[in-house]
Amino acid sequence: MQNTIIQLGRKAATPKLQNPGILLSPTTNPHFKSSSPPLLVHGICRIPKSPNLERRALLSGLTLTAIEIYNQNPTTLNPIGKKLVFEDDIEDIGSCWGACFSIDAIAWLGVAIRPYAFMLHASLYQYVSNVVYLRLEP
Amino acid sequence: MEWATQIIFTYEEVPESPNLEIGREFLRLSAGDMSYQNGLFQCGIFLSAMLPTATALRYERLEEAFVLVLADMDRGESISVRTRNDFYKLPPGSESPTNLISNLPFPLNEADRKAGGAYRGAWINATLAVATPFPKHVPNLFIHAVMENYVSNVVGMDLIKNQTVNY
Repeated sequence: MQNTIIQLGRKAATPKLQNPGILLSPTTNPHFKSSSPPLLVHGICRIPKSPNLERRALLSGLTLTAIEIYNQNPTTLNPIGKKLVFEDDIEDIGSCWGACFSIDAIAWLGVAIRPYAFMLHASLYQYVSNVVYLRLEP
Repeated sequence: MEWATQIIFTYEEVPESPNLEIGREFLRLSAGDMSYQNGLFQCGIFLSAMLPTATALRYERLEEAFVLVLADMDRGESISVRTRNDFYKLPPGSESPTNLISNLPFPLNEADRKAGGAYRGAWINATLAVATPFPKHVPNLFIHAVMENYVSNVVGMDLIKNQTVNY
């Protein structure tokens, strides 16, 4: 089930990142309605190469945290889990490794009773992304 | 990955509470009193927050609106917890079920982040305990705090030298 939440690979809407870190792109349609297409949040991370770090394990610590705004309850997910990561899923960007991913927010956070709103962010090692505000409406 | 013991939060300023530059940073996290014995990692967490009043007044109890995220990079696991003492229950009707007084504007007003204006703060202290195997890399545990779109600094935990790394 977890493997449907994240897709690896660069997409047209993947943001650009110049420095080491992690970045999520705000969705073009953050007001999600049941008739809308899948609500994808695109992200990119860039981590300096290190002898202690294995290329294919770069994303294994990727953490997504969504906080429901009405009661501030958090939910955390490691979307990679047992998903296979191939060598070419990780890009060489100068002295860094980089990876692009897309998160299907409805596959993860879909709830029956709407409206709901979430603050979503990602973290990897010492890097924390920007926070994306999503509203799920009837 | 689970918390090994019940987390008890206290909400007063203590000598270990980090100082922050009001208006330029909103949340600052520090950790101390680390120990790692028999696979059990424990540390004290101290969070100082000073948020724009427009944001802080949205919450009935601001100190309960933060979230701590702890990630274990070696094992690819993470946990999060809201800074609320949930081991007691007040009688029904005596507290708001949502802790939210007014709804958040959508999108959020980024002008709140600009320096100037009034600020309102909170201090949060807790002792975290989690079972984790001996690390392959150091630091392998990273913790940060978040509230709405305000994110604190990240603190890494070096379990071998029993010291923290502030980013």
